[in-house]
Amino acid sequence: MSFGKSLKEGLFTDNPTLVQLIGLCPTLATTTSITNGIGMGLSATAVLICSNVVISLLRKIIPNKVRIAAYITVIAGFVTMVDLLLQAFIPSLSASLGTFIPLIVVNCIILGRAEAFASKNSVGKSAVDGICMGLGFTFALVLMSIVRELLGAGTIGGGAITVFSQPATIMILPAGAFLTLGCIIAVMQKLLKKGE
Amino acid sequence: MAGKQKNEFVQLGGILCAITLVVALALGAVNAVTVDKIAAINQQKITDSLAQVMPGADSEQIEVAEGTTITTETKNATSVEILSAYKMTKDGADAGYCVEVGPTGFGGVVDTMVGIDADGNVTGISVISASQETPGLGANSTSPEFQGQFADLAGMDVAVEKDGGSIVALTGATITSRCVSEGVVAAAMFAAEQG
Amino acid sequence: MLTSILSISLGAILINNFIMSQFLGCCPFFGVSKKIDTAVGMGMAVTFVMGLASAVTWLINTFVLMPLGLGFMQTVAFILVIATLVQFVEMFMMKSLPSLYQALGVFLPLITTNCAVLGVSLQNIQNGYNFIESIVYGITGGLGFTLAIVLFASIRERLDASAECPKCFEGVPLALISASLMAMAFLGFSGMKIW
Repeated sequence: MSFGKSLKEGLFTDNPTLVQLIGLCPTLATTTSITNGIGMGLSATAVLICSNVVISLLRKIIPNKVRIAAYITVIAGFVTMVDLLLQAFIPSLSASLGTFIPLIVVNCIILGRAEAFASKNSVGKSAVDGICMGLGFTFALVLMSIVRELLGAGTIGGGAITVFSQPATIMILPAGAFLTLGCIIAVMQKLLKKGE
Repeated sequence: MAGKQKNEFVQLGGILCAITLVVALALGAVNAVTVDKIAAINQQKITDSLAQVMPGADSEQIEVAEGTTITTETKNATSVEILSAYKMTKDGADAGYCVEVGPTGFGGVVDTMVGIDADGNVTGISVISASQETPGLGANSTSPEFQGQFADLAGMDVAVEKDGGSIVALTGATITSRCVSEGVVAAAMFAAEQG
Repeated sequence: MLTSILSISLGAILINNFIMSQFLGCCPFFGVSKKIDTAVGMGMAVTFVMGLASAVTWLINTFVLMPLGLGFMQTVAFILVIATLVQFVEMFMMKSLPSLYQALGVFLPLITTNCAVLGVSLQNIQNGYNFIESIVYGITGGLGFTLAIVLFASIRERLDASAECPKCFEGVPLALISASLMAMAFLGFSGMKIW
């Protein structure tokens, strides 16, 4: 499978969040500003690439019976590393993402890709899969956060440019998150139908 | 049969243990690299907030037992945790106290540094972290406009407008605004206790 | 003590509902909410595991990780504990409580990757809850989850049967928008407080 094709699948036709509907918790919770959305997306992508590579390397060693426990351990290790590194080098992002960084462990996308792809494919392919799926997840988060930040806080680019001074605050509250995701998925379904 | 089963069990356990061990070692290494850096960042936050609430003063940390709380004598009577406290001096003269308080807001503790001068007036406040408050509402308590309102008020009398005070609450975040006010009152009470 | 337990319970069930305001446990919320029966089953299983996991992870954190200075291993240790716990609960139920296993069995493996369980464990530590408070937070958090998922399932059952809407909104998008309306209703609880 070529890189371009995997990328198209990850970003669009088989997007983990918008089409497969997994990893919804961080998508809903951390998309209150673009900075948070990008930060969360890239952190999860980093973990996804690393865990895909390692699990693919270990795929012949890990016994089938304890594979889930083994995958989770590897993933949790990488997540903690990302968490510590963020705390040390990008403290502001780490503060605003809070407990959602450790919760990348239970992001179904990462365990899902480990089980469905990395455990069956070569290291190179798994790395590509990690990059494409990770970017797809990041893409969904960015899309969500642009809409929510613009409507809910009235700004663009993490508060850099103010567009409205009286925004619709409901959009950055939980209700707005569900609403935005619902509308984005509806648009996605429309576009995919057209493509067929 | 039983022996074979046991053997398999040991093997499975062994592989899992080995993986966990490698992960633990790797994490230990990353932790060793980052631990000082994280501690330095947290220390820097305190130093910055001290400089913000009482510019140009020297600080000396005073011992506060872990879990010390003060219940404010306001109509909300909130219990506020005192996280740390500093005796401040300016050019050798007594300049009051800076108190780091942790009142509970909407989503969790709102870590706030409050400067109280020798007369019990607020010199300034700095919300160090309000990351558990609602983004765009309570989280705006870190804005200079909101924090600026507290300067020069008599510490014990600070309250939001709804409670008869002068603090204009953040839009849609009365709870966070009230909790910061209660924190300021607690800080003033703590400073008064110290004399 | 009693007031703190009451306010934790009220907070976990209504004000800071795990799904409706913290977004923890969204995957099963959307995945297994098509029928009321399965939603009730999932809710019960999650409540059970959350209570148990809160107790065990609190003990491990307090008596193993903290004394050894291994705070950075928290995530790894907790998720392993939860995975093991779920496995044991499944085995125990299969042998001793077959009728309960029949009802909940299918949901158990799914719970390992339910972020509400790991989330509750981490929040217990972050909020500095003691042993009892942790268990209460775990169980009531689970009850809040059950409340949300059962309400949502009963909406969805009717939705699929009767709703007329643009084709592209059918299925998940419509469910998400219903969830949004529910979240607005839960917003009404914000600010409630027990003194």
